[in-house]
Amino acid sequence: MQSKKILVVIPAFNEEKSILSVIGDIRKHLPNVDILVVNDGSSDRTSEKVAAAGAFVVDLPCNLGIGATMQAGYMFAERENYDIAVQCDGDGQHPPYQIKNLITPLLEGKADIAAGSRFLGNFGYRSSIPRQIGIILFSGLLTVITKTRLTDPTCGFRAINKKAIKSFSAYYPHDYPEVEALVLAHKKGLKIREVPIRIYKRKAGNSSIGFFGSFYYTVKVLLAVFVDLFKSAA
Amino acid sequence: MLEVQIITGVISVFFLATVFEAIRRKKLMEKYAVLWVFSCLIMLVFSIFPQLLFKISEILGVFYLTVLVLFSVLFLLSIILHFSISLSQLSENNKRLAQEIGLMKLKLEKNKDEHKNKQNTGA
Repeated sequence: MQSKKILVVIPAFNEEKSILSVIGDIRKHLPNVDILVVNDGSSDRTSEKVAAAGAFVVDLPCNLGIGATMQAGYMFAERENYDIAVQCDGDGQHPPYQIKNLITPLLEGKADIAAGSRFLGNFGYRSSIPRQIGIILFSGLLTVITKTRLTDPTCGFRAINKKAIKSFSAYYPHDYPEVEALVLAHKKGLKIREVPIRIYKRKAGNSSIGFFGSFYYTVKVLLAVFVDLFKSAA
Repeated sequence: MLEVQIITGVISVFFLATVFEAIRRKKLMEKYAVLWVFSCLIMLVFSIFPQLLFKISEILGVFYLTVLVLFSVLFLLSIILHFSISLSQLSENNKRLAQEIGLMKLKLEKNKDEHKNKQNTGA
C-alpha cells in the first residue's frame, strides 16, 4: 500500500512565515511523500525558503489565483506519474498529521476524491455567519447534485487519485474552485467521499475572502455551479 | 406597446442565450459572466415591464429615446460582450503559458541538480 507515489501540493502566496513549519510537519508525519509548493507569484521569499528546504517549487511568473495554482500542481502530479495528490494550505490551517486519514479512502479504493470536512466529527468548528450561510447552501446543493452527503464543499483540504488528477489537470475552475471542482468531478463520474478533519487557526496571513467577499463568492459560485451542470463534459 | 415588448424581449433573450452559450462552452469566464447575466436579466425585466422605464424617465426627466441611441447601445453591448469573451480566452491562454513556464523552470532545476550529482560522483 505504501508504495503509492504521493505528492502534497501546497499553493502559496506570500507565506514565508508559515510555509517551512508546514513542510517540516509533513516530513515528520509522512516521511515518504514528495512536497511541491506552487508559488503563485509571491513577492516575499517563499520560493527561496522552500527551495532551501529541499521541496519542489513551481514558480508561477505572475499571480494567477488559487484555481490556476492548484491546476499547475495537478499538472506536475500527472506528468510525474503520482498516484495521489493532496492539497494542503501553506498557512498552517490544514494540519499535516491528518493527511493519513484523508488518503485512506483513496488507498482502499473507496473514492476518487477524499474531501476534508470540518463539520463531520465533533471538533466544534465555527466560522463567520455569512460564511456559514454559504456553506449550508452549498452543502445542500451539492448533496442534491452529487447524491452524496457533502457537509463542507468549500474546504480546500483534499486528496485525489490518479483519475481525478488527470481530470483536474485538464480543466480546473478559476476563482473559487473548491465547490465547482466537486460538481465537475461528479459529472466526470468520479466518486467523492468526505473525511472528518480538524482545522487550525492560521499561523500567518488572512483569509482570501472578507465579509463582502463572502456574498460575491456565494453568488458567483452559485452561478458557476448552475452553469457547470450544462457544460460540455469534455 | 406590445410590439415594443416583443422586440426588446427577443433582443434581451437573444443576449441572455448568447451569454449562456458562451459560458457553457467555457468561452466566457464566470468573473465576467456574473455581470453579463445580471445585465441581461435587467434588460429582460425592462422589456417585459416597460412601465418601469417610464417611471425612471419621469424621475430623471428624460423622455426621448431615439432609434439611433437604441441601436448604438445595442451595438456597444455586442462589442463589449465580444471583448469579455476575448478577454476570457486570452486569460486562459495566459494562464496555460504561465503554468508551463513554472513547470519548465522546475524541470530545468531538477535536471541541473541531477547533472551536478552525476559529475560529482563521476569525478
